[in-house]
Parts: sequence; structure tokens; C-alpha cells
Amino acid sequence: MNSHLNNSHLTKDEINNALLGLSYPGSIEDGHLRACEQCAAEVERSRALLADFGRAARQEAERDENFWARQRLVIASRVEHSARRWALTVVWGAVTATAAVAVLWIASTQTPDKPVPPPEPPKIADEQLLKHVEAALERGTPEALAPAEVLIRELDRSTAARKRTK
Amino acid sequence: MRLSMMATSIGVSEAQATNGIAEQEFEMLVKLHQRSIYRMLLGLTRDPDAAETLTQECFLKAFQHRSNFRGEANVKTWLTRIAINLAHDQRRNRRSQFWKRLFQGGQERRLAAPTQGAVAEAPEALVETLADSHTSAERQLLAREQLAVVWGVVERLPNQQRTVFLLRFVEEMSLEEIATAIGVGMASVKTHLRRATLAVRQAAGLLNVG
Repeated sequence: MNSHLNNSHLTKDEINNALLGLSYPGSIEDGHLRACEQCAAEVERSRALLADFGRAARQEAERDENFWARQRLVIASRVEHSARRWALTVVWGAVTATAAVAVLWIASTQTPDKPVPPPEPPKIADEQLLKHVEAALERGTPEALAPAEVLIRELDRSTAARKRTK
Repeated sequence: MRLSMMATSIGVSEAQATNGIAEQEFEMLVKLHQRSIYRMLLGLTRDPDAAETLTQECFLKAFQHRSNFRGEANVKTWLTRIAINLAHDQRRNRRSQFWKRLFQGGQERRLAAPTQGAVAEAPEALVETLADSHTSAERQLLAREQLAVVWGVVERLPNQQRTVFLLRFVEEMSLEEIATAIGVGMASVKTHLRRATLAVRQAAGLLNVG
């Protein structure tokens, strides 16, 4: 419950609101403040303290013109340095990107020819292949053992000739 | 287009902006806002050296990201946002450095001493400046004590509350500007401001009524 309804003084929060200009003009609190010297004095004391504080803080931060001029110089030099660094970064970035593109382009133009695929085995027609298989089956010995067959045949022939001479 | 909007908001003609005068434009921007950015960073860090370095960082970042500026907020709000982020980062780093130092031992602790001294000196300077505006010694003393108390409370406030409080009472920014600068809604700004102000009033002994 608000204090003014009890006909007493404003609460600390109401005084705070009045001090900060947050109470509504024409409100009951506002009316009380205009009628009550004690509350008005309380607001005024606080207002004076805060005003003194603000004034003192502003005075504390005052510096002579040399200070500000020196500060502007330092800021200007730092800004210039930063701008130069930025420009340098941009230039380096551009150079690097160009170099990378050039390297890629050179690499793509100088790649070795495509590897030659191994020669494909001669295509034999199915019918021809079938004939080869049939001939191999009809032959008594496999094709790979044909020289051995010739040798055996020669051995048999010489053995028979020797028997005949005996 | 963006540059021209920025140029317009800092007082450079649109014709000039489209003719590629970014550097001149930026110099003007620095000249116009360096004081407020430094002041805000000094309030947030309580360290003149850090505030100076971070002001430079702030403008350097602004230059590097100037293409991101959309012209929706004004330049001061945009710069304020950058500065706040830098101050929060610095605070986080300082906190992690504190723990590092704590674990590293005595030698590191001795090195940390001048930094603490620099922070402690600040309220003194603050009070001296305030003394000019008060005549009686008693009032001077009271003001000295109260301001030291206020700074003590402000330094201990959570990041958002401290930032909102300083932007409101030192930079005298409107609640809308603060909301844009720190990237939160108006309701959140009001809540932070209420809490911070209440904490300050409580610490300063200004909660006698209610």
C-alpha cells in the first residue's frame, strides 16, 4: 500500500521515482511532494548530491588542450597504421589468390597424357574359340605337351629299330 | 550512404561525404566526442591511464567498424556503446588478472600496489574540484565525505547499474539514449537506475523519510 494513502510521507521508492522524474505529473505522489516540505526537501537533497556528483565527475575528467591534441595524434596514427595494415592484407590476399590461381592453371595445362591402357587381347570369335576347344579335345595330348609327344614318338621309333637289328 | 548519414550527424555536408572524405570526417568525429568518451571511460574504470588507452581503442574500433554504423542511432550513442563494451572487457580482464596475481604471490602483489593507489587518488581529485563550488569548510567536508561514499557505492554496483547511473548523472543522457547505448529496453534502464540511485542514497544516508 502506498504511503500517501495513509497520509504519511512518501516511501523511499516514491521519492526515488520523483528524483528520477519517473513519477507521473499530477499523480497523488506528485501532489504530496508539492504539499509536503519534508519529502520535497528529501528529494532536493538527493538531487543536489547527484548533481554534485555529476559535476565533480565531469570536472575530474577535464584535461588541457594539449592532452586532447596529443590523444588525437595518437588516434590518427593508430588509425593510419590500421588502414595501412588493412591495405597490405588486401594486397597480400590478392597476390596470394592470383598466385594460387596461376599455379592451378599451370598445373592443369601441364598434366601428363592420359595413361595408355594395356592392349586388349585379340577378340576371338565364339565359333573360332569353339573350334579350338574341339581340336584340343580330339588331340590325344594337350597342346602344351606336343613337344614331349614328339620326343616319346622318336624314342619309341629308335627302340623298335634296335629290336629289329637284334 | 552510411558514411553520408554519419557525416550529416557530425556536421559534414552530404556532398563531401559522398566524395570519400572518410578521414577528415573521422578526425572531426574524434574531436567532437573524445572528451565525453574519455570522461565516461574514466568514470567506468576509475583509472586515468586505462581511460586514455580505452579512448584510443574506442575510436580505432569505430574506424575499423565504421561501415557497420547504420545511422539509426546518433554517433555519440554508437561510440558510447563501443566504449562501454571496452570498459566491461577491461574490468573483466582486470578481475581475472587480480586472481592471477593473487595466486602468483608476493612479487605480483607489490606490482599491483600502484594501480590501487591510482584508483584511491581519484576521489581526492574529485573532492578538490568540488571544493571550489562550496564555501564553508563544514560543507566542503560533508561534500567530500558524501562524494567519496557515492564513488565507493558506484564502484561496487553491478556493471549495468553502474553504467546506467554514470550515463544518466555524469553524461546527462536521456533514458532513451541510455537504452540505445547499452542495448536494453527502457523498462530495464529504469530498473537499473532505480536500484543504483537507491543504493547511492542509502549509502549517503539520504533515506530518512518513508
